[in-house]
Amino acid sequence: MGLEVHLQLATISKIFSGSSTTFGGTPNSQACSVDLAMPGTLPVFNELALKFAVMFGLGIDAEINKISVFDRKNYFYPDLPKGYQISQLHHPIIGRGTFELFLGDKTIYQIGITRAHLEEDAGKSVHSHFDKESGIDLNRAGVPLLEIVTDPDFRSTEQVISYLKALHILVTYLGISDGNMAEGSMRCDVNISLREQGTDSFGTRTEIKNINSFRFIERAISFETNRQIDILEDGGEIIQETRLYDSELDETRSMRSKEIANDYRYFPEPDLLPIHITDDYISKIRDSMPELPLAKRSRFLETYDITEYDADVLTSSREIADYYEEVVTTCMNPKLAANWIQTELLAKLNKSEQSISESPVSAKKLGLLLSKIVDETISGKIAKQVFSVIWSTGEDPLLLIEKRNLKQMDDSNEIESIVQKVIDQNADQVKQYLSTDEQKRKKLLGYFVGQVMKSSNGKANPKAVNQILSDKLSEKS
Amino acid sequence: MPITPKQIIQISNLARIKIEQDQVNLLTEKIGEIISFIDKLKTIDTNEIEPLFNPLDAIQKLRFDKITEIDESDKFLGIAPSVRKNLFVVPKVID
Repeated sequence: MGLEVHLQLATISKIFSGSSTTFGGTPNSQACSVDLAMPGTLPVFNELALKFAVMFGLGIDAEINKISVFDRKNYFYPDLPKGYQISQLHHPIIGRGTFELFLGDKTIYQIGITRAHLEEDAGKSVHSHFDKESGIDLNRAGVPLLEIVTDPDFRSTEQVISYLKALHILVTYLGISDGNMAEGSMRCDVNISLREQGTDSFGTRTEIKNINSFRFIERAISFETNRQIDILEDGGEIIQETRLYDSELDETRSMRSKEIANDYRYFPEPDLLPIHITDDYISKIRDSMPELPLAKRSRFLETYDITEYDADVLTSSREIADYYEEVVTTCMNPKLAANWIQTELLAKLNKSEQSISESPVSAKKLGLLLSKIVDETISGKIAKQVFSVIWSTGEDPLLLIEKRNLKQMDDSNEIESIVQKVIDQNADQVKQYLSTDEQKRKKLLGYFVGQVMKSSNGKANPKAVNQILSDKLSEKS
Repeated sequence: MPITPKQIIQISNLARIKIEQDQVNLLTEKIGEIISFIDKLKTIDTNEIEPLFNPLDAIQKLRFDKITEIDESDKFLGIAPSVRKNLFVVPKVID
């Protein structure tokens, strides 16, 4: 399998005009005369789209072509007012590169990137509310896209999905796309061909278009692979064609209308000059590149001494990674921060369907809270209670600990008197303790500690309690 | 023959240019001449020559990523033959 991903670049205006690219506007309110192909209009290239494309190229360590050229891809379709799409055929902005995948079994698998080129998006056809007609919304026409094409290097659905997830992480780290699949910011076409076991050559391929979620990609691949196997096993032949995945019927079917126009008669776009990129331009962008996901992952492993699993979770988005690092800076305990973010914070965010940037508990506040566990002001158990409160009230953790008097009891006199009370109240257990073996003593000691903690409302410092208890009990023996 | 009448008909279909049956042979001949000329150019050795991407000696000017256009959809929708719910209405799009 090989993939073509259409990535919508996160510019605020279109690739060749000054219309807004905001998703979900009133139909046609963001389509200007250039997008509508009014006579006399000319395209002017958006510098940020160029920068984003170069950032992607640097992100996958690909060739950046010093000269790249726009071409016209000619076909007639109602959502394409000009009768051609401005794209790049022979001289794409990004040339060969490689993409490293970490698979579940810890192996590294390399995917070849054939190329990535800039192009404009088409408009959208609306069918609902229309009987024998279609409605056309051209707000999307002219939105900048980067089409990323891979070599036919994928051998399993797992590889496809992990590539798409890694790609999603990369482009959102770079900030060049929001990667929102539901809004069509990342769309995927899959080329599938089969190969007889033991042979080298691929069979005829089909292309599945229009897949916009991980789940649908899995199902589309599985349907199409089985369809091809059935045909080949019955002695039939695969026709090279474009197929559409229908998520409602869970099947792929032929898109005949696109096939008729298969010859796009590309030629160089006369309205745009070639783009020249200098070494200086590239090195300036290189200097301003954020840390990439894999680099961040290795740095987290090295500096913070956390597990690989922790590193995967904590670098799964730039927001989570930034949050984590801020918590670590404040509490100075990377392992504690990693545990808390995963077990408390992310679990809670998941439940309330919020992203980390919407978290009611800021990184600063969580860091301060954890710093109080680190310096033994409060226990982990109390910290969880404090966390719950600041989750709903947004209060400052330090003030809250002060206000509710949650500080751990360190005063040994105070602890001693509680310990004494527990010993007095549990004369039977103390007797048992004094007459039994080491194993049972440990159990009973645990019981005493529990009682002390209970009557101190969880505030007694467990270390101090243990010490004082052991001392007092050994006095008796 | 560098191009066949069948290809001429196919290209005219793709380009939505209507040609009459009696023009097909003439066009096949004329366009065939152009292709032959291009083929002749292809025989020239250009190994030592830098490719010319554009005859204009200029570099593409870029624009800042800024929204400069206002919503003028009332004007554009106003000149369309058929409009409903702010959409341009066209014959049914299949797929």
